[in-house]
Amino acid sequence: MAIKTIDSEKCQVCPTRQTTGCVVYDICPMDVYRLDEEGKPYIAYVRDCQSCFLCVRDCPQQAVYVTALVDFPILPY
Amino acid sequence: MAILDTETREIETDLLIIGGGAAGLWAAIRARDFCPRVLVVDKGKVARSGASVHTHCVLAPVTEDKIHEALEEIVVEGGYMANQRWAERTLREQADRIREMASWGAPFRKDASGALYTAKDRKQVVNNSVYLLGSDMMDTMKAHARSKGVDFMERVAVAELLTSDGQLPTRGSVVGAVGFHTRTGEFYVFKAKAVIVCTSLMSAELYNAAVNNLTGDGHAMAFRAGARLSGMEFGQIPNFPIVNRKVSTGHPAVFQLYGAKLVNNLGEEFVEKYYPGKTLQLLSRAEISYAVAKEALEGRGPIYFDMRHWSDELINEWRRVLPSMMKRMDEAGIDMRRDRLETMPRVGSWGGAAQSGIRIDENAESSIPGLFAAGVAAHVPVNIIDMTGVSQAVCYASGYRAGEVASQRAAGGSQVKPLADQVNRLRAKVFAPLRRESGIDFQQIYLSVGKVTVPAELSFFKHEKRIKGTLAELGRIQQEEVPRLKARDVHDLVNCLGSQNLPLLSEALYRCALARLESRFSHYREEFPYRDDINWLKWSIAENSGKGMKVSFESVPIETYPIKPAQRTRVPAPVQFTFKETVKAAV
Repeated sequence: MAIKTIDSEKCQVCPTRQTTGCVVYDICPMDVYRLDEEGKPYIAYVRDCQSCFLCVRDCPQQAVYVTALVDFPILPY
Repeated sequence: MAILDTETREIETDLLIIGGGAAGLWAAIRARDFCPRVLVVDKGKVARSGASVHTHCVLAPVTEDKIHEALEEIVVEGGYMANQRWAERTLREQADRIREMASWGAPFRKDASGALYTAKDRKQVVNNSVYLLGSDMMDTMKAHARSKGVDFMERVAVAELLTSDGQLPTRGSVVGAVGFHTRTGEFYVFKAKAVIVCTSLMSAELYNAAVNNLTGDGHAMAFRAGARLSGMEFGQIPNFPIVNRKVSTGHPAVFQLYGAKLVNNLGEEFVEKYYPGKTLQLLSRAEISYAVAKEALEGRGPIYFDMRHWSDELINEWRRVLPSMMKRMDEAGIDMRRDRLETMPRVGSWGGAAQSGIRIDENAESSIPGLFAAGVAAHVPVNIIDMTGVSQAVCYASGYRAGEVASQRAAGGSQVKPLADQVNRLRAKVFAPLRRESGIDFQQIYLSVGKVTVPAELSFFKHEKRIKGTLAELGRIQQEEVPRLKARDVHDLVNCLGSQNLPLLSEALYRCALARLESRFSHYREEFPYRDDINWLKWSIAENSGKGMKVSFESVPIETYPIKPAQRTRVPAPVQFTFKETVKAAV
């Protein structure tokens, strides 16, 4: 389970990012994002994503896609 | 490494609040009525960090004429273990808290007449719930706290408490804390006249969907400082996440409430067999989980939730209220109108619902002067029965009280300067995983602990022999693995910090489980398959003696409470199971 993609084109035109800064970088509970030189977010710590979908909810551009599919073995009880 | 050379920043405040969830913000808001400098420190972003942001409802206000009945529901269902004074305060004050939040603009769901929409949620016959998205609640509270002059410091992870004698455990008082900025690595020394721990439970990443930023930091740092922990044997919360081998999700509670069927692979609705006369709605997650575990371990799994009879209207409502859960379903290709959902018995979190945590008195003060606790970090045994919305209400009530008392103490107190020697020692300890050239990854700790705490015979159904095996392994992990943790960078240091808590708090859990010779709530001993109210209306206390962990018990002061049992009896556990290796192999 992790963030899959960020739509960079949507970030490019994001008015919020250009004025008050990137929302998803600001709010991520696990702090998985970092900003590039242009102030656009990239996924720096993908393994720490907890798939809480708060970035999906808060991103004003709906630029973030998070998958819920598990990438670890679900062991029997 | 450059990060190790970072400056130390000294911050002075009257009241330091660690953790900015619902309990922390209520504490901060109330504290500003009494003292000028209130600082909330959070390792994430306040209003998006922690557990409160993921809630969707809270206990409804209780009218004066219903208080006794509402209290009785909580106390009797909870096997008389509740702290009735905290329970009554929680019920009595809830109307004020809800009214205040609404006046600050919290968008509670309304009914057609414009009144608060209320409904019966899990475990509620007398009590009710009102509905408010966690993110909206937290945004509203944060804005109000700001307007009242509360200071915030975000992305700073508090790692350890500072004490007047420089010792952990201390014989003195708590005088502040140390931590580090999770992005810059700056080291912080907080000097405070009083400290409130408002951190969350531990939701460990144990083969399961988890809220990974809940790492029991407050429980662990308070324990190391010598504060007593209580009720730890109940800290492992059995749950039944939806797992279909492709997707794993929390929020199973919703399936209980609207007539979902829980069936085994023979198509039998089996819950009634264990809990005669009770519907899913009236059972706790632990109660259901034990039934699910027994069915599965006896070869009648997989177990499924069946919602194929639900209306589109109902499914759409959940899409609105719990978008993340529904998104997971969509992505896994699960259509609730067509597919059944497989569930597995799993222990989900450590120290949930405030039935285990830092022992506090009725002023929210811990066993160490200057250290207070509130919310899920504290032992406020009200929601033993897992009733929807009560844990949130406990966060409000205990946060409010902690803020009120701690701030008055701080306003009248004086600053004690932390000892430079302790600050230096803790700085070296906190940054140690960064300094190591090589070592183990934090996920190794979760894996090692998971192996001896997650399997059903080690979590749901405990036995002295197996508990001792788990304790031996937890000791080994703390001696051999924790000291070798290697952080890749300062971001990873946060992970290392959190992972160290799991073997420590698990040790407390298993030590208390070894000592409790009966079964109740989320604690089951094969050798003692009954709830024994004659001998065990007691809370456990786990303490850091400086030479190891000490466990003792303290009786529930039932004779001083308004609601008492007619007689104390011994009642067979509703789900009984004796583990045999051969059964496990067959599964």
